[in-house]
Amino acid sequence: MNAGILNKNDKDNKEEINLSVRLGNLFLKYPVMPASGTFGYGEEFFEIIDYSLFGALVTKGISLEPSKGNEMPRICETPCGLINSIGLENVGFERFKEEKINFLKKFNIPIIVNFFGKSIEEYSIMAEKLSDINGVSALEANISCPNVKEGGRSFGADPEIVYEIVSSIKNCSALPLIVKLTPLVTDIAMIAEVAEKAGADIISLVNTFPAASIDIDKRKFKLSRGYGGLSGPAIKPIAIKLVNDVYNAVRIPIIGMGGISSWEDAVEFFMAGATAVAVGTGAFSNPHLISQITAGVKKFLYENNFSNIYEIIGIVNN
Amino acid sequence: METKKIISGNFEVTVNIKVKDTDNTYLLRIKNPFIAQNFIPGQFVMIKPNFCCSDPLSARPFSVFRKFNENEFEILYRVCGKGTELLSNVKKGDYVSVTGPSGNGFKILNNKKSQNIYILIAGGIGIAPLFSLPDFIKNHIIKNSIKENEENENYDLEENNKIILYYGSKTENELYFRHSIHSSYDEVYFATDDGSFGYKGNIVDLLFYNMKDYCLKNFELKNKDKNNEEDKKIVFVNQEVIKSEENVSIKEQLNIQFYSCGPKPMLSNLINKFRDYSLDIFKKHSLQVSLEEHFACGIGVCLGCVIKINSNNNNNSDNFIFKRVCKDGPVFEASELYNY
Ligand SMILES: Cc1cc2nc3c(=O)[nH]c(=O)nc-3n(C[C@H](O)[C@H](O)[C@H](O)COP(=O)(O)OP(=O)(O)OC[C@H]3O[C@@H](n4cnc5c(N)ncnc54)[C@H](O)[C@@H]3O)c2cc1C
Ligand SMILES: Cc1cc2nc3c(=O)[nH]c(=O)nc-3n(C[C@H](O)[C@H](O)[C@H](O)COP(=O)(O)O)c2cc1C
Ligand code: FES
Repeated sequence: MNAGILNKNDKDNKEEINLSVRLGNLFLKYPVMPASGTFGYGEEFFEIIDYSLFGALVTKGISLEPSKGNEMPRICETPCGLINSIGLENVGFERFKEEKINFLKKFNIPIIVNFFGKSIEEYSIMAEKLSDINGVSALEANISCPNVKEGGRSFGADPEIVYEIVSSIKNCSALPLIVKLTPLVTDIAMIAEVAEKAGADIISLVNTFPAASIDIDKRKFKLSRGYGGLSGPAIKPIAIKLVNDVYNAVRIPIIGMGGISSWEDAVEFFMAGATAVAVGTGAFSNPHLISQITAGVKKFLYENNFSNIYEIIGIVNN
Repeated sequence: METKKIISGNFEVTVNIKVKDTDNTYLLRIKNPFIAQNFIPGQFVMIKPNFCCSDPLSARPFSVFRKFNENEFEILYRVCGKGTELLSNVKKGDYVSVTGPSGNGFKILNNKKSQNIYILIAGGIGIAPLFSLPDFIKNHIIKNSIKENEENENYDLEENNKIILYYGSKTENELYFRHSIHSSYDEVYFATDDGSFGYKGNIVDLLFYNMKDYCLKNFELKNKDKNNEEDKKIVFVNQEVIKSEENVSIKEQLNIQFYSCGPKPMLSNLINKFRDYSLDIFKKHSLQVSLEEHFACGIGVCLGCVIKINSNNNNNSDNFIFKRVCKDGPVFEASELYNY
């Protein structure tokens, strides 16, 4: 499927273009990865595709205790978008450690474990426990989930709490820490700066945007919880702007995401300042997307006489 | 070539035509040998006609209707919204994005020592996942008997295996292929709500009306006099008697499998009747249903399509767990479903 993309001077192309990136102490061969919650624990996609062009593998958000998630309906489609209210359903720390991590370790690709807590304390407990698992390459703290009342939303919107969570995680884990920001704040640059000061190694954004859709015949919200989080192409222009805001505010690298569904979209994120990108909803209807993006970005760099990905990162501000 | 269970790519449409006598039902034929040769009835494919466009965003699930030949498979679909509308405009020679075959199909549990009846219950477009089942059952039986050839000499395939279809819909033209479908079955029963074709009324009622006959009419019952009126009553009607050991042993001679797909009200009616009549106390008399939910990913990663399944874990505060229709289903054993 992705073969056709690399045809012209295939060999030179591959040798010359360097796609590898460094995110703090995390080295990625390719700057493209799945977005948390859209890749399960890696098992399902592997029945369809190979992960050889993936920069990292990223898990569904994990909590201390298993979580059952929300009532149905949990998803609905809107023009160019998807609203979900899964409710952070996950297998919990113990089952992740016993049943899920071993599969991910087979691939020799960095493993990023996304996690969340119900309290500041739980974030650090989780960070400590996850750091003890052999094979985890980096942690991604989701401080932004808009779905669950007691987790998420409030943490990521309050700078003081962001500082406290990030610094307490850094105190009990030596792994590279990615802090995943909520997009719905007045000043995302300020939140990112706070996270950087508190010791974050990497910033990732955006998470989904709070959104709702109504069935006019039933006169009801389409989702059981009323609202959910919007993802997909509909949010891409907002995500580009937010990534660029953060790029101009912090020195640490950024993983950009939100609506990426082609390699061109990914290039936009790099140009806005992302050092790596993540793909979520887009891979649902095209499982080959991540590999196609890796190949497409490489071809783009080659055809435009760039020799590595860093030459285009944040290029719009240079 | 590495072996993957599911294939994903853009494949050529070789036929996309409206089914005769219908307003909005189409038959789509797609060239893909892997899916044509490997799907199990009940499995589905995700199809996106507008593969580089974002509205509608997600691919849509469709049951594999049948294998057309070694290289092509078909789906039968009803236009009911944006995605299916777009699909109906696809022309021969166009490419559509396809991922599949996905999910768990129907399981065939045939028992060589007993007589097997396979009863398929379809509602309207719900015929789609069931359509290939008769061939699949026959192949399965033949394969199994070849395997166990030696003890098999006096086993009569025809006599010991009956496939029966119950097919209902609102009205005549939603009973697809009603004039040709007989050839795959030993018996076919039709019902329409408006009485325009077959029995006037509900297909589930018709099935239960006939249910008591399956043990008495089609097969010889050992130990019991088949003309005995008392016997008729015990079969599927009176759950008190059905539970008594003596009668269970009679039923043991019979292996009845039920397979169903249709609109939710029909399925819940069917499942509830099964519960009322305690048909699920016989493990051998399984009822498998193919369910529908809205899908986003269709491959099991987004957790958007879950349904409730009975939980046998007592520590669980609730008595259900969530399972994904797209990955753990779409075919489920009816007795697993929680409050369906
Ligand atoms: C496993 C599986 C197999 C299926 N097989 C077939 C098949 O063989 N033939 C066929 O015609 N259809 C099948 N369907 C249903 C089909 O997927 C939907 O009709 C289709 O997704 C509608 O898309 P749309 O964009 O046209 O409609 P939308 O614009 O998405 O919706 C139109 C209307 O249909 C309803 N709807 C949409 N999807 C579903 C659904 N999954 N269940 C119930 N209501 C729905 C919506 O609520 C809305 O009222 C199957 C569904 C599943 C889950
Ligand atoms: C079904 C679904 C589940 C998600 N679950 C998580 C999660 O567990 N943790 C998290 O940090 N983000 C989660 N996200 C957010 C994504 O990782 C991503 O930030 C967002 O979807 C935007 O990217 P996209 O438009 O490419 O999907 C989820 C998104 C979707 C669609
Ligand atoms: S549709 Fe995503 S898990 Fe079933």
